[in-house]
Amino acid sequence: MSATEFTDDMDAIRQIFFDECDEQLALLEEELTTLSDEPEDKEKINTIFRCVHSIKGGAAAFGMEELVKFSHLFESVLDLFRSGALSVTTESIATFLKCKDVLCDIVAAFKNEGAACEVGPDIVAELERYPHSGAPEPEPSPKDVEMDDIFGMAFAPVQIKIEALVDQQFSISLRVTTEFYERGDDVRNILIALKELGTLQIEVNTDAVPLIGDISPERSYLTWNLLLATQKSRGDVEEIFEWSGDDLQATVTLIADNVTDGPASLPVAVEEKIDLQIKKPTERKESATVRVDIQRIDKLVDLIGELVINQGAIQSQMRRNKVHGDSVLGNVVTAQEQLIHELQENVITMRAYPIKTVFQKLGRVVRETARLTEKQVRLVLEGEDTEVDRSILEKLSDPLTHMLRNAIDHGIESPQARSLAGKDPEGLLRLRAFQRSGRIIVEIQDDGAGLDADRIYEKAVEKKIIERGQRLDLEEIYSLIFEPGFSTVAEVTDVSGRGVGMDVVKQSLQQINGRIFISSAKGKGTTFSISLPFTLSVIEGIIFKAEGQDFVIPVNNVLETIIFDAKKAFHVGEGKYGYPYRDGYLSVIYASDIIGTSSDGVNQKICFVVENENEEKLAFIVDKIIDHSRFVVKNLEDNYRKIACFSTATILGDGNVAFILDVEFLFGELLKKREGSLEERV
Amino acid sequence: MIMEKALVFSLGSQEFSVQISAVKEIKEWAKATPFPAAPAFVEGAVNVRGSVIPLVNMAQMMGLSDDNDEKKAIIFLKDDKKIIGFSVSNVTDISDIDEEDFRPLPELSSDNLKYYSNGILSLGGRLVFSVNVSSLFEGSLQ
Amino acid sequence: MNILVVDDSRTMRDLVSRELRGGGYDVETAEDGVNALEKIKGFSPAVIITDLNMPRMNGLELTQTLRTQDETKFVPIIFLTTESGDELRRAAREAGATGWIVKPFDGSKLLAAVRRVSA
Repeated sequence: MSATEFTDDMDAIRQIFFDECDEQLALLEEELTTLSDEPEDKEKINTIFRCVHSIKGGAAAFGMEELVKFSHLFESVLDLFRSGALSVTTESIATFLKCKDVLCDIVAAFKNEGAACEVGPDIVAELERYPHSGAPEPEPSPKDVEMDDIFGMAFAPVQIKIEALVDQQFSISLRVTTEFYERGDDVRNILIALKELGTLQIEVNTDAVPLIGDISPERSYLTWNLLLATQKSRGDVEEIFEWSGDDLQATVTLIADNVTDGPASLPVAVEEKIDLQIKKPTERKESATVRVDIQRIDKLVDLIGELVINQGAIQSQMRRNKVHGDSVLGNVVTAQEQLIHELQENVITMRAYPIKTVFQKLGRVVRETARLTEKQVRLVLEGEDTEVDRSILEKLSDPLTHMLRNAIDHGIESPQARSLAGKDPEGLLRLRAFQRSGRIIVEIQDDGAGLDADRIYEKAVEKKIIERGQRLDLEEIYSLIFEPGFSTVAEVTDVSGRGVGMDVVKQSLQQINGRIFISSAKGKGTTFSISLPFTLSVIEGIIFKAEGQDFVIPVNNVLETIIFDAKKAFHVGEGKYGYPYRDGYLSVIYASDIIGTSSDGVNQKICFVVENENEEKLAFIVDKIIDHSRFVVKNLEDNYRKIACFSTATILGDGNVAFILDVEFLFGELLKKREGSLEERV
Repeated sequence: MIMEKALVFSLGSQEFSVQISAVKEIKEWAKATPFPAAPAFVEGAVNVRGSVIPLVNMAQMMGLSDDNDEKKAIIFLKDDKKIIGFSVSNVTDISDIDEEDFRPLPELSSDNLKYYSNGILSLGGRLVFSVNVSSLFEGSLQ
Repeated sequence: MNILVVDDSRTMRDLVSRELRGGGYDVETAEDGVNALEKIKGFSPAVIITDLNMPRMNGLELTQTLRTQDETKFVPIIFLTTESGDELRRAAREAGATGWIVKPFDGSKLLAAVRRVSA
C-alpha cells in the first residue's frame, strides 16, 4: 500500500511541477516582452533568472535531463546580464524569447510522457556565442555523467573510497570557535556523526574554562580528544567536518590498525565506551538549564543503582554483625540510605522527557488516518509537558498510535452519520496526559459512536472467548476487546489493522506496567485511560525466601501480609487449596508450585494477599520475609529471554541476583488450575 | 591462510574452541541464582558489574554430560545483542588458527555435535572441536 | 521535530516537505524570506532549510536576519541550492548558515543533512 501511495504522491508533485513550469513560463514571457521598456531594471532580470532557475531545479529533481541541460545553459547566459557583465539589447531579448519557446517545447514534451524533443543546434550555438560565465559547461560526454558534471562539481570533491577491511584507529583533536555555535551548529552533532562511523571514545578538555565569574557565556572554551575505531576511510571522517570550514579545527591522525596481533593473553573485559561526554560552552537562555547527553544520565542511574546495592550490602553486614540500628553507625547508615534514596529519585526525574515528543508524532497519524477513512477529525492535545521516564516513553508510541487509529476508524463516525445524529461533522479526539497519585495517566477520548456492548458480547461469543449466557458487567464486556483473537485479520481494516489487535496494545502496555481502563457511552464517545508508572528502573518490593532462594515481589501488588496458619488451609480439589481471608476465602498458590521444587510446606509461614489490576485476589504462600526495600530493576530479556513468572531481576546487597515475581503470572497459574478443575468435571 | 585466534577450553576431557572475537570476559566459576522456569542446562543468573547474565552449563547443553563435571571457569560470550556466560571445566590457552588446520566433522558425529561444532582443529596433535558461537546462543535461548 | 522549508518553487517545497515528512518531521513551508520570518513565529522550527535565490528576501538576507533574533540565533540553517562555487559557500557561511546541500534534490542526502545538524 505504501508503494502506491509513494508513486501517487510523486505523480502529484510532478503535476505541480508542470503547473509551476507553466506559471514560470508565463511570467517569463511577460517579463521578457516588457524588458525592452526597462532594460536596466535589475529586479526584472533577476525575476527572469529565477524563472529559469526554478524550472532547472525541479527538472533536476525529476531527472529531466534535456530540460536541465538547456535551462542551465540559458541560466548561465542570463547570469552574465544579472551580474552586469553584459547589457540587455534588443538582440539579446530576441534570443531570450527564442529560448523561452524552446523551454516551452521541452516542458510540453516531458508532459506528454517522454515524447522526444531535440533542442535545435541553432539556439544552442546562439547561446554559446555569449562569453562563458563562471558556471562550467556541461560536457557532451555520456548522458548519465552529464548531470553530475553540471551539479557535482567543485563542492562535492570526488572521493576515492578505499574501505578498510579492519577497524582503523584515528586520534582526532577537536576545537571549535565561538562562531561555530553562532552558525547553529553544535559539537554534539559532530560527535554523534562520528559515533555513527564506529566506536568513539571522547575526552573533554576543560582546562581552558575560566573561573565562573570570568566565563563569557557565548565563548567556546572546550577542546575534545577523540579516539575513533572505524572501518571508514579518513575521507569519510573528514567529510563530517566539511561544513564547518575554519570554525572547526580538527586534526585527524591515523594511529594504527586495530590490535589484531599482540601478546597472547587472556582477554580482559573492555567496556565498550561510547559515553558521549558533551558539554556546550555555555547556555543560550537565561533559565538555568544545562544540556546533558542522555547516556550520561543513564550511566548516573546505573551508578546510583550500584550505590543502592552497596548500601544493601552494608546493612546486611551490620545485621550479621549485630550492629544495632540505634547505634552511631546505625544512624549514619540510615541517614545515608535516605540520601541515596533522594539522589536516586532526583536523577530519575532528570531522565524524564515531556510526553510532547510522542504526542507530536501522533498528529501526523491522526491526519493520515482521517484522510484514509474520509473522516473529519480535530485532535486536541493537553498536558504535553507532562514528564515521563524515557524508558516508558519509548514504548508508548506504538500502542498510542494504534489506539488513535482505532478511535478514528471505529470510534468516530463519518461526517454524514455525525450530521444525521445532530453532531458536529468534525469529530473531536482528545489526547490528554497528567499526573495522578504518582502515576502518569494518558487519556484518549473520542466523541464518536461509543462502544456497543451488545455487539461486543455477540462477537466474543462468536469467537468463543466467552460462553453464551455468561454474566458480565459493562466494564468486563468492554475489556473483551483486549482479548486475543477478538479482532481478527479478516475484518481488520487498512487503517487500524496492520495485523495488530487491541490485545497487542494491552500487552505492550503491560510490559511497561501500564493498566488500561475504558469508559464509554453509546452515541457520545469512548475514553481509554492508560495509567503508567513514572519509571521502570526502580521498584519498591518485599524480599522473601522460598525454597531456600530469595525473591522479590512488587509491594504495590501486595495488599496485606499475614501469618500463614497451615491448619486453616482447606482442600478444595486435587492439589488445590483455599484459605480464609476476612469474611471470604482465597485461592492458594504456594511458592513451591511455581518455583518447581517439591516441598512438604512445613517452612511456609507467610501469606501475601496479592491483588492484580482487576482487583482479583489470591493467597501466595512463602517461607519468610527478609526485608522491604527499593530495588533496581534489570530486564532479563536484555541477555536472556522471556521466562514465565519472572521477567525482571534485581541485584541484592550480597551481589547475588534475585528474581522479581511477575504477579500477573500468579493469576495465570490460578486460571490454569481452574481450567484443570473444569476438565476434571467433564 | 586466514589467521584467527581461538580460545581453547575443556569440557571434561575433551577440548573445544571459540573464536576470540566473541569472548567478552573470563571469570572464575561461581554459583548462580537458579532460574526457576528455565531448562536444566541453565545454571541460573549471575551479576557481572550490575548486569544480570544467564549462566549456561555448556557440556550439559551439548548433551555431553550431566552436571557432574568439574567447573572452574565461566566464559562470557557476546553476540551483537546479548551476553551469555558458559561454565566450562577449564580454560586452556589461546591459539592461532590457520584455515588449513580445519577438518570437517566425521559423518557419524551426533546431531548435537554437528549442531554446535563446525569442524575439528588439529593443534599440534591435539584434537579440538571448534564451536559455533551462534549455535551456542540459539541453544541457550531455547 | 519542526522544520521550516523556504523555497519560492512550489515543486521544491513539495518535494522537500514530502521527504522530510516521510522522515517523521513536521514541516511548514514559506515562499521567501519575508514569508519565512512570519511563519517562524508560532512554529519554532528546530531546523530551517532554505533556497538561496528568492524574491523579496533571499536566503542570505534571511539567514542574517535570523542570526540577529534571539529565538533563531542558534537554529541550524541549511541551504538547499543549485548554486555552487566557493564564493557562495563563503557568503552563506558568513551570513551564518550551518551547512548546505547541493541540488539535484536527493532525499537521503537531505535527511542525512538534517540529522547532521539536529543530532
